[in-house]
Amino acid sequence: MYAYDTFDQTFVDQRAAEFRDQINRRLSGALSEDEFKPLRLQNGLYLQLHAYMLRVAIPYGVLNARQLQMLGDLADRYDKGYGHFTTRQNIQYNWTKLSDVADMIDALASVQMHAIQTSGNCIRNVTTDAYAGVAGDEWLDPRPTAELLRQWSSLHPEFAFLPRKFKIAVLGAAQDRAAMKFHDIGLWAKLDDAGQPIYDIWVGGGQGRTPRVARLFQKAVPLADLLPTLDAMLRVYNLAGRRDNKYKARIKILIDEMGLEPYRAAVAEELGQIDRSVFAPALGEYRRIAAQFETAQRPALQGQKLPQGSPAFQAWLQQNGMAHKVPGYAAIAISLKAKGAIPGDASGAQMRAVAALAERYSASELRVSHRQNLVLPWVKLNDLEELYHALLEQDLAEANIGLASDIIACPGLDYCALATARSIPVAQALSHRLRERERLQGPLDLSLNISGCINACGHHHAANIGILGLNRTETETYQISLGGRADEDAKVGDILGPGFSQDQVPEVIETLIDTWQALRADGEDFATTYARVGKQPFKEAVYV
Amino acid sequence: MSDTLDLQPAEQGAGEGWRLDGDGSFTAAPMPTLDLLLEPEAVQDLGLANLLPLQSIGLVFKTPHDGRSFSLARRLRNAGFDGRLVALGRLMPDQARHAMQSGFDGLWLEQDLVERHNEAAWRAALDVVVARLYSQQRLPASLAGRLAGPDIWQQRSQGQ
Repeated sequence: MYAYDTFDQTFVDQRAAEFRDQINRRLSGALSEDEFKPLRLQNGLYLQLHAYMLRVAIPYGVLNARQLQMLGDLADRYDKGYGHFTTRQNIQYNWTKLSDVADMIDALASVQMHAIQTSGNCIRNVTTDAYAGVAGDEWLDPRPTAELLRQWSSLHPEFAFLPRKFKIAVLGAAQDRAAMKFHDIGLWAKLDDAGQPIYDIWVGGGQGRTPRVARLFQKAVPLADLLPTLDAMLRVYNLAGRRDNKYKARIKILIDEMGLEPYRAAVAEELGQIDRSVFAPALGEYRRIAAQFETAQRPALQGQKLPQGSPAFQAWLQQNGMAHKVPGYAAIAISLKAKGAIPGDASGAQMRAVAALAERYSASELRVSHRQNLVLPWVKLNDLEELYHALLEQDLAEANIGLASDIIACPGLDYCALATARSIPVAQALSHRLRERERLQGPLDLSLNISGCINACGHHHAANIGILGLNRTETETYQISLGGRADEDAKVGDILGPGFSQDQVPEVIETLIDTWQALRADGEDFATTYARVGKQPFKEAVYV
Repeated sequence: MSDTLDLQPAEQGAGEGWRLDGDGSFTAAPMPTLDLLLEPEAVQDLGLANLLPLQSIGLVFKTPHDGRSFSLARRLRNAGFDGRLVALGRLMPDQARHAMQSGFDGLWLEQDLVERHNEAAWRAALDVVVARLYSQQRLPASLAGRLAGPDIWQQRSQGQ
């Protein structure tokens, strides 16, 4: 994985010192809250319902064991013993004190981490496939591109006060495991005939109150043109994006209102003015970064065999394991969705335990997935059974990756100042029921996501079954949508009908699953069945 | 977009204030004499080519949250504008580096804004802690001090 050189380390150390000064000026009153707000947000610090929340960047979801150990220590020392992994592959601490934040940032810098641009109206943490570099269907490792973008966008002077937040995802495989088409800009990296990186650029995806699947902006953009093109796309957005209404300020609305063709023309005009010489070092920089990732790749192993193990082990491996591009290894996901658990939460002790397992079984490397789970990307086949038993001891061997009980949920009204309804208790209640159902019936092949408000941080639009918590006349109401998907065939779910009370939600979800099971062809997943039969039979089953 | 532009000199000399220049100097000064003073909305109606012959342009920041004028400055510089670019309006000391790195030569600040953040914060505004970006677009020639110099990618490529 990428390791900081002196320049990178100096950069984060200096940024930590700068933010300490900004916090001190806020504490002394030299900065008003209104002035401090964009500064703190650009360093991941939110003011939530009960406390400040610090969101820490995990660039493109890649961590080493030492870093995860530090995240666990921070949870114990500065939070209430927990951290919450997010859909942008980051982690957030919900109970931080403003006076502690500068020390937390210093501690992060000591392990090559930071909180730069994890919030605010700027370019956010670039995300990618949690299986980057190890997935069998990968054409190009997307991490060097993501790291190049991290560096380019860090403290970018021109794009620090955009109309709204800006999210970029990079893919390099056939399958989209990063919800790329729900990003402001999505890059789908491929290789040209000469084996050089080229990028299909998608624009205008997003969720929130106006969900949009991204549209193809340009195909096969060479690496040399990537940053100039992004620079021009961002400049046009910064100048023309709406600032009169924050709910209409994302680039998806600009594309809607301006039209894709006029936007393309504006970007082309901007590109014509750009001084490309400033981007010339990017090619060498990409090669330098890519070399680091290539060096960290491991050669094929001889003499490794998939163990037989118990039926429970086999079920776990089947569900949480992924075929590896390098013979002799498997990538193993660790579910943070145990029965009744808060999705994405991990205790400090669990983080330290997983860090130790990564050190022992996965070349000290880990990933955070956008579905709020962890991944050990380099497990030798001969070690799988031992790892399984070690995870069992930590209650981290839940075999439900990609199933109905692998629920994405935002923190909701329990923490978030924007939320209109609770999502955590809904997720916990469903987790109990669905996990039990999976135990009795076998895998339930569908995605279920929950958001506590229309901002859709829980990705409800992109789920096969989406749940949106709203507040109608002081009562929490949950609206159901069906048929959404976050993969390469991305689609926004269809609203089923009037909402339900919190108590009704588990029963309604079970009815929807009953309906799917009655209608599905042999081996069909929920999304395929829904695409075939449409909304009506589900509606009839629920609104009787 | 109009082909011709009736350029009226901005209202000059009204109000006391301070100027922060790219060399870090911070001095009391009346509002500068500028060929044109532009708010971000107005620029959509102006032909960029009309602006290039001017000697000086002021770009207004209505709030610290509105970054349009950073992009306007970069667009003007990219198009070849080599006159003086001044940022005016509701900026914070922390944004002085954003302005210079986006192509401004300096800032002009009203008295109340200087008092709001205190003079010392403005005097130190260009002694920024994070002086080197990974990738830096062309800087104005007037810039000196910690912000001037090659970016990280340039330094790496030169083996520094």
